[in-house]
Amino acid sequence: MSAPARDREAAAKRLFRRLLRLLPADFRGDYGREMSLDFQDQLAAAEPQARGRLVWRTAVGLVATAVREHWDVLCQDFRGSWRSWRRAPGTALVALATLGLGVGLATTIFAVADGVLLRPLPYPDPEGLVAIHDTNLAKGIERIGGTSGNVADWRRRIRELSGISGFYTMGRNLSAGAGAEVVLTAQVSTDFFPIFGVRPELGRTFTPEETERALFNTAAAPVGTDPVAILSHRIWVRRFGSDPGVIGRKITLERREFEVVGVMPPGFAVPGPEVELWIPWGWKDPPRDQHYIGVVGRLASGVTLAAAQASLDAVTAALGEEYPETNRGWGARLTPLHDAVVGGTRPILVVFVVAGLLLLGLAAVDLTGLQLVRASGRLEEAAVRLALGASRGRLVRGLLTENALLATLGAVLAAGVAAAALAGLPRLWPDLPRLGEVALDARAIAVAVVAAVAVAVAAGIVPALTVSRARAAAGLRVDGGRTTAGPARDRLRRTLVVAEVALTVVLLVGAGLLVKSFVRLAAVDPGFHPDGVVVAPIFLDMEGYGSGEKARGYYARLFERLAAIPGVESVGGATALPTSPLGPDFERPVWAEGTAPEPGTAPQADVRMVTPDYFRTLGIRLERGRVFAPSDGPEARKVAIVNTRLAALLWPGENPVGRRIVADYSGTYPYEVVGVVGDVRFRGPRSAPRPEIFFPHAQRSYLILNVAVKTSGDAVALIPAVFDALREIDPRQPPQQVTPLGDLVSATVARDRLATELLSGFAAAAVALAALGIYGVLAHRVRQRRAEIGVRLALGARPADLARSVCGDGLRLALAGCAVGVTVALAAGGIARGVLFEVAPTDPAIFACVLGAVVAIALASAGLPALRASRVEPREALR
Amino acid sequence: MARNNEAHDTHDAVRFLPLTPAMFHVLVALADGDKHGYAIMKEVEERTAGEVALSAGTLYGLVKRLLQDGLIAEPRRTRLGDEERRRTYRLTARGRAVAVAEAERLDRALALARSKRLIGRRATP
Repeated sequence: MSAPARDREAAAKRLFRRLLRLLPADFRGDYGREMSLDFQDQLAAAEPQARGRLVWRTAVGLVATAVREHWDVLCQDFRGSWRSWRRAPGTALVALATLGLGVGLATTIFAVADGVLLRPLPYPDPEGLVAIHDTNLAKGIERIGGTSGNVADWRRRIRELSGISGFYTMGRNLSAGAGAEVVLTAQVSTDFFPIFGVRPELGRTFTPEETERALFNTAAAPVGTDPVAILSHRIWVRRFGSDPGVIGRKITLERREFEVVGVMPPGFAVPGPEVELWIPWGWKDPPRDQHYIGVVGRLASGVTLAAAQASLDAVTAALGEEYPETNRGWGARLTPLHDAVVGGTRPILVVFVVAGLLLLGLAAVDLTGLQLVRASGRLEEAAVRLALGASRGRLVRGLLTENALLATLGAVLAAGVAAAALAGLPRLWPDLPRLGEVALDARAIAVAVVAAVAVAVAAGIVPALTVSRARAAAGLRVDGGRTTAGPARDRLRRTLVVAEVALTVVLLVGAGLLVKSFVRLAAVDPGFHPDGVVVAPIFLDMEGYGSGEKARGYYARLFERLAAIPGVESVGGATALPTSPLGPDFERPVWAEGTAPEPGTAPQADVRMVTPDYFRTLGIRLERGRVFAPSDGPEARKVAIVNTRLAALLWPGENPVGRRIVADYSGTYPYEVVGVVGDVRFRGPRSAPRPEIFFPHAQRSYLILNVAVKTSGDAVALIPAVFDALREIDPRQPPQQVTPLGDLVSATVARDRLATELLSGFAAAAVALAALGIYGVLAHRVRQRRAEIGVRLALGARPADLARSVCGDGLRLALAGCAVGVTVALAAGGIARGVLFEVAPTDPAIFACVLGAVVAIALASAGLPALRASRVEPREALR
Repeated sequence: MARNNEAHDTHDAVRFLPLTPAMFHVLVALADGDKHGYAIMKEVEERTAGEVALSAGTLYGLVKRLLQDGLIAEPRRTRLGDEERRRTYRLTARGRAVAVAEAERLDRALALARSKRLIGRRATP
């Protein structure tokens, strides 16, 4: 044979040996030698030109055999696992439930965090999108809406932003086809749609000419010519039946005809998912002192956020010099739009993610304990198989396959749990940003699968190795029907229990802090009484009720009709109600008459127009003076009511009733202060009361009014009657919604409530698992040491001492877990800081309660084993 | 008893049908005596003129199945000097019955094809 031929033969043999390793170890052990000998014989007998074909045929055959043999082994292991589970279905179900619930909840939390925090906004180049808000740090204003006048200047002067646009949302009456309804519309200035780069699903966006002529009056009613509108996908489907011919169709908005020019695609949710219609907004002499519009922009290509911020700072400073009366002291801040949309949710989502990981860890620890118990019961089986020739690798593979089966079923169950939890998310967390983008998608399912596999395999490795180390002689030696557990396994079980207790401590501390925070939040006096009150926002349209007299007439008839409903105690109205997101809400500079502050330095007060019975209806305290009376009509002298905060700001320590306050609001006028009312936490218990000034609705008759109705009975029962009254007064004015004020107040703490309930649930599950863990270890030790206990009792030990010893053992486990848990909780406490209300993450009272609870749980868990130990019969134990 | 066993094997053989060509040829190769793996592969290749070419990669998967089903058995290995003998395989009674049943099945299929004139008559010696 020539040298090349010898080399080829050697290479073929090497390849064969390598491919042999693909086969399962048992098969290779049985037939590997014969296969090698046969191949060598075939190679030697083959013609030189046929050897290549032989090698190829052999290699393909080896691979096919390897696949088939591995599949057979897998099926055999699955059948074995199924038989093993059927023998102990309870343990199998508990293991499956532990895995499914733990991974399912963790997957749910991942899906939420992924949809809200991790995924970029669903627009082209989303990292270039920014939100801009005004600031005035000297006045303590960190974040407030922009002004149209400033936005127009920014747009002209800042090259680092390729587009800037302002927007304002409000409900408007829409009539199109049958029926009328109030829909949330967004009036948007030029650049709005180009900034987001999203093409309409149908038609087009606004042209610059359409935007320029789209003017609005001071009541935010459209007064421009040939107005146009763009529909959202949702309203196009819901109200227009997905009609592709909707472009060019006329709709009636605020009793004016608008032409539909476009339909946006699904998922376009700017400025919010509730917006159903966009209309253009042209600016003519836009003001610089009304901070109420939202502002978005896009960074120019290659420009960083810092560079754009520097340019914005320079421009705002220049504007402060050019327009000192309105702009001095005012700045602006750029925020990535993603942060602006979801930033407020980040702290609580981080808490949820950490809680989810802890729960996953707890599931892994618990599952490991369960598998260890099962492994202990299978030592005999393992010893027999080893004695019959099975390899250790085969045993381990079989046990790991069992875990893989558990992982597969666990992943399926976890996906089901996650799907059910996500289906309930809109009800649990209705104001979650980007709620529509949270879904059980491929990424979340992949996480479920990976987590289930990781937990099941991790939980199965040590028990599998434990079983594989069983010795034939040792395993078959039985002692009174019980196998002897090794000290290493015992140490492992104790370590698992300590880990369970540690995780439980962390979850309990988190839950305790949130509960205390929520209790404090719920105890905050909102400044009003929502019980028995329902609210209905009314949006009178300009065409039908353009004059103040007509609006006053409507509301007078409405209030009279509402007051006639049986059970109604009072009816009031305000342009903006506490906790209600609807209605005009803005602030204006105010000062005490005679003080004449420097331009731009006057304090700002939130402005509300209210009816005489408003304060009584909402239960807002009258501190001094009087509320508005019917005599405070349009021809009467100008009067105002201030809240305590504003009174203290302008007349500290004095009685403001009878004084005059000047407000720069549609002209600068003095108003006589006739009353002082209590402060209200307008946006929920976490919001501090702000200075407020109230004017009589009769003197400034806004078309929009939030009507509040108080009943002595159940607020919910009042809703149908209020709806009927609204329809009766003017059928063309569709009632938008009638909501118990208590529901709106609850919504302001919904997120805190959800976090508290969720973490409390996790902590309760953890407590149950830790208690079971401690009980399991101690019960096992008592069983193991029966003989020893019997000897001690026979030698005169007291049963109470033995019981104390067992309890002491349980206490040591608990204290070890507490030490670890407290350390972790203290180190990680900062995560919860952004979520807690007037509670420190290191609150010593909470830690003390948790430690006390864990000690009590440990002693309770140790009770039964201790009792059993004290009742051991020495003669029985020694037999 | 032998006749009863034979009847049982025949009845039992049917459940193994149809055999794959490779399995059938392995059983046929063992019909006239014990053989080791290479001998089986060589005989099958020669008898089928290379149509059925078993490799070391495929034969032992078949051998394992045939052993598990009791169609072949493995006589005890003996040492020959310093070298351990190659493992040989033997056709069992059940295996013989299965091979016969498969051959009869193929014969019936052949007869049907001939009756339809799909193939010509068998040449008589």
